[in-house]
Amino acid sequence: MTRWAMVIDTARCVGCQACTVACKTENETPGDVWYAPVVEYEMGVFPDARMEFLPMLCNQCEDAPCIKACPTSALSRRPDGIVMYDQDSCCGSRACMNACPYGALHITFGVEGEALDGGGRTESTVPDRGSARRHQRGTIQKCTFCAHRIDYGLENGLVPGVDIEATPACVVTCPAECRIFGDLEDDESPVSKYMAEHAPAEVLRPDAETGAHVFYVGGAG
Amino acid sequence: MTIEADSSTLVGRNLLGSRSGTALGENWVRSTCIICLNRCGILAHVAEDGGVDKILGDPDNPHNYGKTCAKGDSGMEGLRVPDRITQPLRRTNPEKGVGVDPGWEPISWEDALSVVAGRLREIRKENPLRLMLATFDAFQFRGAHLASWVNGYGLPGYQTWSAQIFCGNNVHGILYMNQNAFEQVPDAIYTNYILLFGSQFGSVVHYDTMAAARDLSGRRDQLKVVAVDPVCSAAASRADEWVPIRPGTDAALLLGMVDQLINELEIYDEPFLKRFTNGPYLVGPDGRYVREQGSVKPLVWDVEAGEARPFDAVDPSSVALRGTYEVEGAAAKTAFDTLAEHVRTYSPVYVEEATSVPADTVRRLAREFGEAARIGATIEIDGVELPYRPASVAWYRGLSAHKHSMLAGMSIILLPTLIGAIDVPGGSLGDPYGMLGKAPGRQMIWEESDEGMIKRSFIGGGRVGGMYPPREVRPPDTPEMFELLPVGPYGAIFYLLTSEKEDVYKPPPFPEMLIQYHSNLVKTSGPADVMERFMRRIPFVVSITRRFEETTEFADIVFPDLHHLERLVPFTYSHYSAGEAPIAVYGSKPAVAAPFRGPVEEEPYVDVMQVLLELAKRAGFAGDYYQAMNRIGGLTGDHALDPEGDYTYVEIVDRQLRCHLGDDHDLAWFLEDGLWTAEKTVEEKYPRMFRTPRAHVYFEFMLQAGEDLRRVTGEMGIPWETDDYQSLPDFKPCPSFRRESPYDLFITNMKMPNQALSHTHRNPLLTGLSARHNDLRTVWINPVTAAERDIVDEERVVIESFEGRRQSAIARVTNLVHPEVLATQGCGGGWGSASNSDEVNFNALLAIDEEHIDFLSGALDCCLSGRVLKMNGDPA
Repeated sequence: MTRWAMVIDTARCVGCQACTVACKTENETPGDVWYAPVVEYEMGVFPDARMEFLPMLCNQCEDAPCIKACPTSALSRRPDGIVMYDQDSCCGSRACMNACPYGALHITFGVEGEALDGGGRTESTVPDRGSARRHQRGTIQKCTFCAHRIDYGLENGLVPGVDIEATPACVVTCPAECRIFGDLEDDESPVSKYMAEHAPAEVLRPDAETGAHVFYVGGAG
Repeated sequence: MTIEADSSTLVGRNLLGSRSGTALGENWVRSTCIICLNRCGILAHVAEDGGVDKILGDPDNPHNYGKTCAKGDSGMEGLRVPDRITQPLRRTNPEKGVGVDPGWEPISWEDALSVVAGRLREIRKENPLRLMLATFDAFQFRGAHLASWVNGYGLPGYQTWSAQIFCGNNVHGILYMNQNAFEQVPDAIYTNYILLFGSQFGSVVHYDTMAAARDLSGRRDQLKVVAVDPVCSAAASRADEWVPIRPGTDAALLLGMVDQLINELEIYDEPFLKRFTNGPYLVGPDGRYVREQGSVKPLVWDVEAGEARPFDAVDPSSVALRGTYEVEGAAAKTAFDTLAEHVRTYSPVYVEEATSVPADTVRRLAREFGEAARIGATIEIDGVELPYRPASVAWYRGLSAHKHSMLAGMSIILLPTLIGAIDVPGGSLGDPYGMLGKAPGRQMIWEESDEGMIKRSFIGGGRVGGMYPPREVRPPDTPEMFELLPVGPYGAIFYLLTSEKEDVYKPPPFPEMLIQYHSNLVKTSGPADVMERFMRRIPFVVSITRRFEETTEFADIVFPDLHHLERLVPFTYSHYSAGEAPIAVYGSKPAVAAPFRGPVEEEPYVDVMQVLLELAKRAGFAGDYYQAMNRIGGLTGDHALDPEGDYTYVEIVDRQLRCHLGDDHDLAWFLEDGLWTAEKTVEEKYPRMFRTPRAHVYFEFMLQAGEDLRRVTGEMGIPWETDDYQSLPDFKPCPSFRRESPYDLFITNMKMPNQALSHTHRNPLLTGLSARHNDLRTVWINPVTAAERDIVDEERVVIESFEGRRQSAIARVTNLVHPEVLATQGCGGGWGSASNSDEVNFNALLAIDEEHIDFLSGALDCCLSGRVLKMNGDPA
C-alpha cells in the first residue's frame, strides 16, 4: 500500500512564502484562499526575540474529522490517504471547517473560476491539473497534496517526492528544501528516510488524534 | 557589411522561446525571472489561451536548481492587466505635477519616434550630457547595450536613480578595492560563521538567494549566523543570534571588533597581510606612505636586510608587518600598526555606549569570528591546497544608507581582510563578472597599480566608480557632481540636492531630456514634493513603461514596455553562483508574444532596446552605438559590428551569443535551448591565491583625494564636505543619533522577502501575502516604547520626521525591533495606477539635505529623527 505523507523541517524554513504562492498558482485558488500558508509568529522578549515560521497545509488525516463532520459526504479519503473534496456534493454547511483542527478547509464566495490576472485560463495541459482549477462559490476546497500531480506522475512512471512533475508544488519550489514528500510505507522514500534521520517527528495538535500525515521536525510547532 | 542568412531569416520569425525540450512536457518555455536582480532561471508554462499560468524554477539551471521564491512564482502577474499601456501616448496638458492629469492621447509609433529622435538629435548637437537615461534594468547583457547606447550618444553612463541613493553606495567601491568585485557573498558551502550587517543573506533578500537558502538551511548544525540589525528580519530570525543595534552605528561595532582582534586577541592572518595587503607599507608622520625616491614606490621594512626597500623588492617572509622604523631620519610605522593604534579608541565600553550592543557581546563576537577563521588551516580544492578561512561577512543597505557610511564600508571590509578570508574557501567571495553580463571571457580583469594595489578595472563602459585609484577631481559635468566624488560609485542624490540649492552648488545645467524605464524615480528616490520640483526642471520626459507609474505622470511621450515573459535578452547579470557552484549562462526568452506592435512594424517587439536602437538610427548615432557595443560588449573579429552597417536588435543579440559562446550557440540555439553551463577551475572559484595585487587595510589614497577635492571646490567657490577623506575609518554618528526631544526615535525601513528589490506593490499575489504576513501599512514599535507612549497594537498612528513630514500607519507592537526604532517595511504608498496608496511611503519622510547625504558615496541617510503621534495629533 501507498501512504503519501509530508515532513516539514521547520529549522530549515526561511519564511520566504514561495510554497504559499506556488500552491496558489498551481491550484489557482480564488481570492484570499491559501492552501499552504506559512504561519509567522513571534517568540521571546526583546532582545531574545525572533519570528518562527510554520508551514501548514491539509494534514491528510487518517481519521479525518472533516470527513466525519460532512453531512453530504463531499469529503472522502483515497486509499493512498489523500482527503479529496467534491464541490458538486458540498452543501456549504461548513461543518468540516469547524471540525478541522488545522484550518485546512476553505470556502469562498468570490467569482466562480476567478483567475489571477483576469485571464480566462480554464484548460490545463501537462501536467494535467484536472479538476484543480474548478472552484465553485460557496463550497469547500482544500489542499490535496496536489493529487493531480501525483496521479499524473504515477500514470507516467514517475515517483512522487522524487520527480518534480509528480510532487506537490509547495515541495518543488521550496529553496530551503524544508518540505519533503513521499510514500510513508516505502522505507526508501525521501519522506521515510528524512523522518528516520531526524527523529522524532511530531504532528501539530497531537491532542486531536486525527492521524495527521504532515509531520514536523526541527523543533517548532 | 553582409548580414548572415541565418540571422536575417530569424527576423521574420515570432522569436518565441521554444515550447518543448524539458522533462515537463509541452508548452514550458525556459526563460529568466527579472523581478529581482538575482535573475533565476525559470520555466514558464503557456496556457492554451496564450497566457502564462505557472512558473517553475528551471531544474537544469545550477544557479537556482529548480527553485523560485514567492516573487518568481507570481511572475506572470502584469501580463494581462486592464491598465497595461499598449501603444505610444502623447501628453496634451503642458502643466506637470503630482496629481495633474497629463491628458494622454494616442500617437503613432512613427510620430512618437520622430518627435523623440528629433529632440535627441538637437540635444546631442548642443551638449549630449543634457540627456539622462534612467533605468535599473541593466542587469543582463542589457547593461552592455545601455552603456553602449549612452556612450554612443556621448554620455559617460546611465543613471539607476534610487539604486544610486540607497543600494550599493558602500558596497561596490569597497569591493572593487579589496576584492576586484562588484558584489560579494559568503562561501555558503564552506563557511562556518557569517556576520550579517544590515543584510538578509540566507533569506530571499540579497544575492544567490536560492542557493543561500538551501546551503545555509542544510548546514545549520555546522555554522553560526549572527545578524546585526535594528530589526529582527526573516534572516535574523533564522540566524543563531540576533544582535539588535542602534541604526547607523555599525562602524563603531566593526572597529571595536577590529580592535579586539588585533590588540586583545592577536588574531590576524600575518602571512596573508604581508603578501596580499598594504599592511606592511611604511607610513610617515603625515599619514602618507614613505616612498622610494625616484620610483615613488611605497617602502616596506626588510627584516633580513635591516632597511626599508620597495614593496615589490622584498620577499614576503622578510617583510615586517609590525613596528616603527627609522627611514631617512624620520619615524615610519607600518600601515598595520597605524591601524592597530587607531582602533584602540573603540573599546568595548565605548562601542556599547555608541551602539547599544553590550560590551561583552562585542568581545565575544570578535573572538567567535576570529576563532572561526581557523587561521593557518588549509583545504584541498581540486587537488590544490588553499587557505581555509571559514568566517565571512555580508552587508548591504542597512550599513550603507547612512551619513558617513563610506567609513562604515571601509570598516567592514577590514574584518575579512584581517583574517585573510577574501576569495578563499570559507570566506567572502567576490563576483568575478562585474555588471555587464555573465558570459565566458567576461570576467573582471585583475590590474595592479604602481603601488601594488588592486586597481578598479573596467570591462567596458560600466559607470559605477571604484574607490581606488581615486578618479581625477575636477569641476563637474552634470548636476550629479560625479567628478566631485573621486572615491564614490555614483551620485544621483546630488541631482536633488543641487536642484534644491542651485545658488549654493552652482551645478552644471540640468538635463534637457529624461528617458526613463524600469526606474520609477519619482516614487523611489525621494519625497514627492522634492521629486516634483526636480521633474519640472526637465523640459522633455520619455517614459517606457507597462503601467502608469508616478514617473510616467511627468512624461511627454510614453512608449509601451514589455513584460519580462515577453522579452529577449541574452545573458544574465550574475550571479556568481559563488565558489564551487558552476557557471550558468542563460537569459530571457519570450514565453508569449507582446499583444501589441513595437517600434519596427515588421519586427516582433521583444525588447526595449529595439526602441532605443530605432531612436539611435533616427537621431544619427547608430554607428557610434555599434562601435561602443564592440568595445563594451566585447564583440570582436567577425562578430564585431560595422559602424557603417545597419543592424536589428535581434541581429546584435545573435552576434553576442556567437561571439561569447561560439558560433554553434546562435540565436536559434538560444531560442531552442538557451542554457550553457560549465564547471569552474579552482582559480575561478577561489582567485585570491592566484593573483598578486593587494587589498587595503590602510586607505592612504583618501588623503590626496580629500586634498584635491578641497582645492577644486575651493576654486569653484562651493561648500563640500571632505572631513571623511581619512586614511583610516572612524565611527561618526548620523544626525538622528542625537535623539533630541521631541524627535527621540529613529524612523527606518526594511526589506521584506516577498516585496524587496522589485516592483511588486500591485501584484495581487504578493500584496495578498503581505496582507497576511507583513502588512505594509504598519510601523513596528517595541512594546516598551509603545507602552511609554500609550500606544496599543493595531492602533492607527502617525509617524513624523523631524522636518514634520508625516505618514499614517498602523502600530505593530513587537519585540522584533530595537526600542529606539520605528521600523516601516519597504517603500509602499504612491499614487500611480501601479501603487497601493494605503501603504507607508517611507520615502515621503526622507530629508534631502547636507546633514543626511554622505558626500563620499552619495548615500542618503535612512534613519531619520522622528516620533510617533496619536491620530488626534497628541505626542504619543
